[in-house]
Amino acid sequence: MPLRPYLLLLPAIAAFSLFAAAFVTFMVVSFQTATPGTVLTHGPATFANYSAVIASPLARSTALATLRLAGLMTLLTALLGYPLAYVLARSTSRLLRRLVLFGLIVTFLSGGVTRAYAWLIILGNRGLLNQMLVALGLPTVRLAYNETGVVIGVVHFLLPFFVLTLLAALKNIPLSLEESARNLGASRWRVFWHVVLPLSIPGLVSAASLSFAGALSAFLFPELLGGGRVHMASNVIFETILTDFNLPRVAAMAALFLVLALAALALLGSLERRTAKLWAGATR
Amino acid sequence: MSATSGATISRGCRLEIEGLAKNYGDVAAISDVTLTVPPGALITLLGPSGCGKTTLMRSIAGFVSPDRGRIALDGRDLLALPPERRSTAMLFQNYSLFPHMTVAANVGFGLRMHGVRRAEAEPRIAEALRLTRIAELADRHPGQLSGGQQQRVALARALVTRPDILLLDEPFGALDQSLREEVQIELRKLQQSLGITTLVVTHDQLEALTLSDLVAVMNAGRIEQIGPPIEIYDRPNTAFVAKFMGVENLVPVRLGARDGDRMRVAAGSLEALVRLHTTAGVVDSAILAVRADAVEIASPGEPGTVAARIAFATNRGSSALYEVTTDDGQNLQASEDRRGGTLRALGSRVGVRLRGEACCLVTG
Amino acid sequence: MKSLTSYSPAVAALAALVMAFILLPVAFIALYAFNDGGYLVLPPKGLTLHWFVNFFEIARFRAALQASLVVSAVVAPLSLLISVPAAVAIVRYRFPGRDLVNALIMSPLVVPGVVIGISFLSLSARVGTGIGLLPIMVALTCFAFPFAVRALVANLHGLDPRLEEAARNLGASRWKAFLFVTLPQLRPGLLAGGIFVFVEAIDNFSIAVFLTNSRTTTLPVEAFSYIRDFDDPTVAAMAVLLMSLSVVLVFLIDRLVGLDRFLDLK
Repeated sequence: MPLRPYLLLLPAIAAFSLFAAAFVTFMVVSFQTATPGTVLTHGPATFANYSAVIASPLARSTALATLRLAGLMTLLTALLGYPLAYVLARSTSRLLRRLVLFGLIVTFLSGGVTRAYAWLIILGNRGLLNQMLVALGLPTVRLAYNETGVVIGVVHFLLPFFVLTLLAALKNIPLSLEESARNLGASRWRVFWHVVLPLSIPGLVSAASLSFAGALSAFLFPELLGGGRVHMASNVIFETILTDFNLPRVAAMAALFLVLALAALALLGSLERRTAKLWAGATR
Repeated sequence: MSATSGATISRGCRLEIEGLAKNYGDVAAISDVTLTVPPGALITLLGPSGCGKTTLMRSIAGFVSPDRGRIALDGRDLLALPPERRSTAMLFQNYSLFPHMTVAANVGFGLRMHGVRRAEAEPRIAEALRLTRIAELADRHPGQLSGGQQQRVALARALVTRPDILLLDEPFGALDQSLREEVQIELRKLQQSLGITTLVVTHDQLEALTLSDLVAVMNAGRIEQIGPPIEIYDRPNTAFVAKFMGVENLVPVRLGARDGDRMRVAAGSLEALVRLHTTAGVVDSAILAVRADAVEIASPGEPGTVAARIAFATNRGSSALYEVTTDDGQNLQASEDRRGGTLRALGSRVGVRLRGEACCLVTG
Repeated sequence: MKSLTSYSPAVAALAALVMAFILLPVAFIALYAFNDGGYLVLPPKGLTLHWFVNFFEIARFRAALQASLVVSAVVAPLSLLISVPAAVAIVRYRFPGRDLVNALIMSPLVVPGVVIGISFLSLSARVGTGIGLLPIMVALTCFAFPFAVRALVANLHGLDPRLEEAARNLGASRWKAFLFVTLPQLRPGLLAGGIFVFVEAIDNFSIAVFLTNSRTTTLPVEAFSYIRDFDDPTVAAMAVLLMSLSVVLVFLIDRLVGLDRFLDLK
């Protein structure tokens, strides 16, 4: 009897073990040395890769830029996503709700390549936006191949995740709470500020952590829209492996990136756990 | 549900439970429960939530493995069998109808699992639907049915496999009060005509009284008292049973002189001569269970009464319920037929006496 | 009577703008894909299917499309086969190590794709399988099956375990109770989980890019290198094809489980 759940988990454990094996290999590789001219690596164990990465100014500026950009992207996503999620949660029109949900899920399922490319043709130097500006006799703007373009693209990528996650939390706040607040004399704005926003904090934090995780590991968007000028961790790692096939060095970079990402997510995770208990049982 | 045909009549089975116990960690869900249900009888397990009644029922169905004890149907031991081989049909509290199947498919599920051929299954399904008067719902899905209809489907589904015993878990809990009484009587008629041994779990004492051949009142994992419903109602053994059966007044009393099978008891100035049903436990401390209708309200100063005044009055339809306080400070609930009149005024002086033959000594 | 909607018209307008921001790129890319000529001018001069023809005429795109479809067609069902028993174990049983197992199974979701890509690149270099579709399938399955576990766990949590008990009580064995009662009710979770994994497998770039080479590529990787080398709307045509696929999937979801139910399983 106690054996049964483990048997049921066997396939999942097997898949996870492969994942773990890949991780162990990669950690081992990060302490090795590349054999020149091959994909192979050899011992003895060395910290050289790590010390080289830590000493490199590019790595440090990349780490800072990644955290800064991911934070900015998350903030913008939350600011833009909250009103949409709120209107969606409280709209009385079934049709409107369905249309918006439909649009969000289609966008969400359309994938990253499609959307990164869409932004490239809109924001590119000879893209739609600049054509329109020219047609209106206005000066053109540089929106692609810099941080602005990457931020716009990633925020667009994250919005459906954010809105759909926050929506679930907002729907769980009983409308009757808002009605009783208004009945007690609060304006719409004060109802939002004193009732809805505080009650939505757990959902907001979890939607924001999800977005932050996505922003941290952004790869395709900085690669396509950054034009080589925006250095986020994933791109730097990818470009290092393209230019100089030094797997141990890249593995060390990836390991440090993973530590950074997991530390940031663990911090958000503890915030999430703390806020999740905030109103436990109070709104049901 | 009046007419029956031979097809669905079940032979009644004798249910025997001996020394059954189940602990969850340090908490005893049931401890040392022993009971026997004669073939074809309906027994109700009555008690508050957490008293172990549901654990006991789930042990019979096979969803709980008891730590000790024996459960047998007609002498065959059940505990070694997995749930699907026990021939116990359970009616779940929320009916647990399969939402993705039609009513007919729900009812036929048990037959399908037992490998009954279609040709034989179809008339049996039709028979079960007819018995529970839902033949016209055969092609609907559970989501399209009212609570009462769902209950009938669940009952048909349980009966169609011709189980050895029917287990009903709070069967009327989800029904409206108005529907409940009607369905209770209907179910009792069907159960009697089929002659199927049935065990009902409920916390509703009125339901237990309406349905049962036997009532077992449970408390903290034990059977506190077991007997025919009238006996449980009229002669509770313990204060717990008395309270659960709706006795309004539990008065600690001093024991007086014994006179054959009667005994004189007193609480302050109140006195009564009560019949002794049991001698167990009435030696040291005793409690007198007094229903509100056993407290008689008379004119003040009438012989044999104790002086009191009306502290609270409320209307209960044809009768009135009063809280009376005797001059030596005892509070009692008393009910009185209004006989079309108005309620007695608050604070008015009255005399009260206990009707000893309607009172009963219980242990604490 | 003044309506008591929760939000003011200003908030509604802001939400509409955000929605436009979300949908506009998708609309523009469709316009671009059907546009006659390399650059999009508004209003478009003419409509053409040329870029779609071009997409299918380029051998590398055809091969990449085929590779991506094969990968997804293997990864999605394989992930469901792994996930269904895992979800049942997590939801229906209490056993030592349950929380740990749960956390470990979900851990691929928090690891950046690039790190997963490098890990599997290291593994395939070490094991000697080299680069190709097999390592891509293995890596994507290990990475994506937790999405399916999540959807199925959410689905199972919403099911009443007493239905299985009712089935057992009516004579079904544990396996038959699962097959006839639980599995049919897992349809929404299977659909949601399957679609997430399928889309993730078709769209994945960050892992696949490390495991592809000039001979074997997947659609996103091929599109990426095409965008770097050419400046024409062929990739827009591909994007329209992928978007059409997601529209079809959303219609399917709506018909079979409903959008709201689908979101609960996200």
